[in-house]
Amino acid sequence: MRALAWHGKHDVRVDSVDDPEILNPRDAILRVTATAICGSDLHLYDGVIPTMEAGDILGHEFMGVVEEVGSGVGNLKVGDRVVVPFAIACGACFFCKEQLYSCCDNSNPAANQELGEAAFGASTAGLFGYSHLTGGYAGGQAEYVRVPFADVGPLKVAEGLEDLDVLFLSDILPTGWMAAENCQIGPRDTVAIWGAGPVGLFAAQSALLMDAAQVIVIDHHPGRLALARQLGALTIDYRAVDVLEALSDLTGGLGPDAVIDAVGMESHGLSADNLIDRAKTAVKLSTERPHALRQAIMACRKGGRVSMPGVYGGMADSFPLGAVMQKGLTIRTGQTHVQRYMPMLLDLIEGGRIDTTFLVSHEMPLSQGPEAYDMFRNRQNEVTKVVLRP
Amino acid sequence: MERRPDGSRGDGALLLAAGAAAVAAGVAAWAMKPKPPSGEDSDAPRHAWRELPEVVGASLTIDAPADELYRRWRSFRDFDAFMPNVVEVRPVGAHGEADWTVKGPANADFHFRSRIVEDVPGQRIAWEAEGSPARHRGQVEFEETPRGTVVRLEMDFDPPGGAVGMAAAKLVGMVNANDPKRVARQALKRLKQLMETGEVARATPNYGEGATA
Repeated sequence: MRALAWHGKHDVRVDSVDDPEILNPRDAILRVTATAICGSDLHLYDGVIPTMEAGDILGHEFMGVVEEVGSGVGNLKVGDRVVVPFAIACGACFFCKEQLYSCCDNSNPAANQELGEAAFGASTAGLFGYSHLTGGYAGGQAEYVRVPFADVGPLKVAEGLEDLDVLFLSDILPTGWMAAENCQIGPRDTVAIWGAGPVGLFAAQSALLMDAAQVIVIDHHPGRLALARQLGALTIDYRAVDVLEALSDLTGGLGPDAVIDAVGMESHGLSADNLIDRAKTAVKLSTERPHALRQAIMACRKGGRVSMPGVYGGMADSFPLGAVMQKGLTIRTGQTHVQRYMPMLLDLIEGGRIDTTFLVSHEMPLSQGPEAYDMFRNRQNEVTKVVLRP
Repeated sequence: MERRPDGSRGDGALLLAAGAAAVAAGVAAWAMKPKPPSGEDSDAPRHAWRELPEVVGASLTIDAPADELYRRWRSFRDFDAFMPNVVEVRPVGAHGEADWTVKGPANADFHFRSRIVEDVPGQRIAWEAEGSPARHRGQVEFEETPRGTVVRLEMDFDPPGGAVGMAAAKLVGMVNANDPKRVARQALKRLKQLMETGEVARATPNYGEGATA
């Protein structure tokens, strides 16, 4: 089959590889019908995520049709159309039972767990297409993909919905929703969101559905800010205005009640320095420069909430811990527990309360994947979200 | 040292400073040196004691009854399912002895015989493995708690030994590891995966050998 494979910095290729096979009884094999490139894929593209190997297949946002099921999968049959969560969850461990699916104990192969333990103190769930620290699982930017624990993650989709209506249930829509939920929004609240990429836009959409009084989105790409306004948010271009002053005014001097960092680690923030003194393996993480997060913490009102869906992987440089402590802020974060939100969000989509298609700026065949990565990386004003069709 | 006009020697302050530095260095060295736990941290397992690097171990909570975990361990069946460097375990005789074949460095197999020295059904199994170079003592304990069964594994590679003990530890843990603690930790993790999900997680046909150094 054909698949998009990582071969180094800014080097994604369409490779011809073996089709995936059932390895465990609870696996399923999917024929991929639609898959997207994520903002976090760009960190892989930029070569700053450690433990990637040449030939690794990319992609963690995908959906498709079941081609084959293992003997242990009772709820799916060949021909079912499903959307798959980007994090693999076993459904049985302590964390899955607490609905902390992205913290699953059992989906990351034991040998790979050493890397996460060295870097973070504990290993988290296996992910599709996101380095060997998360299990080295082949991703879904391919014609076929192997889905472990297929009886837990994949969500069946009814025929009346188009692929683009539901594809983003795999990651970014639940991510935006969880980011807004972590703001603990009350009816008089102002939520300020840094980053008008797909996650920031879905977070804004979710915050408005949660009846925030006011949602303010901060970015500099005019195209993306326009999308935010379309959703009903106010917008600030940080290159044109002083963000803290503007936010203070828009909140009558109080500051936003909740802030969302939908930017995450800057792509150039990771280099080859090793700052993990316990790691015996070479997990090469270094300081990240969280400019957006720092500003969000400074802006947040006293006693407010900081929601961090943006991905971080290492240590942060000049993190304003004093501001967090002195203002008594609450930080809520984590890799999205997609399985927790999928059914509810699918209902909202079916009921017409959420439209996700506004986000898709480009649809291209899988064979143009390398070009798609380049566009997504370098033309962020025109390119909001690229969907690939194998 | 010169005498000062008032007759005192200038070296007094210097000596005092040097003495203080020596004491401080001694204190620092003493503080860093591994020592046996005192009363208040004797609750820590031996494999966590700094002065015993040859003792390795791990604990995990597994959502399965203690009896079931005990029986799986005691039967010696399917160890290769959760210890990938184990090629074969053959029970020998009626007194808990077993012959092990384990993959070592450069894919060469090595052998040792283990003997059970303590056997409390549902609770504890302790064994000795004779035959250099893999000789060690080990024990596994099963304790039911509200969150599941806590499985505590400990292996002592130095009865007695030192450098030889560490070499034995490395040998038993050689596949996919240069840290003997990994053997204990990964074995328990795979056992947990097997008991809680019915499968051992893998990204490739082998045991998720995607981990890179």
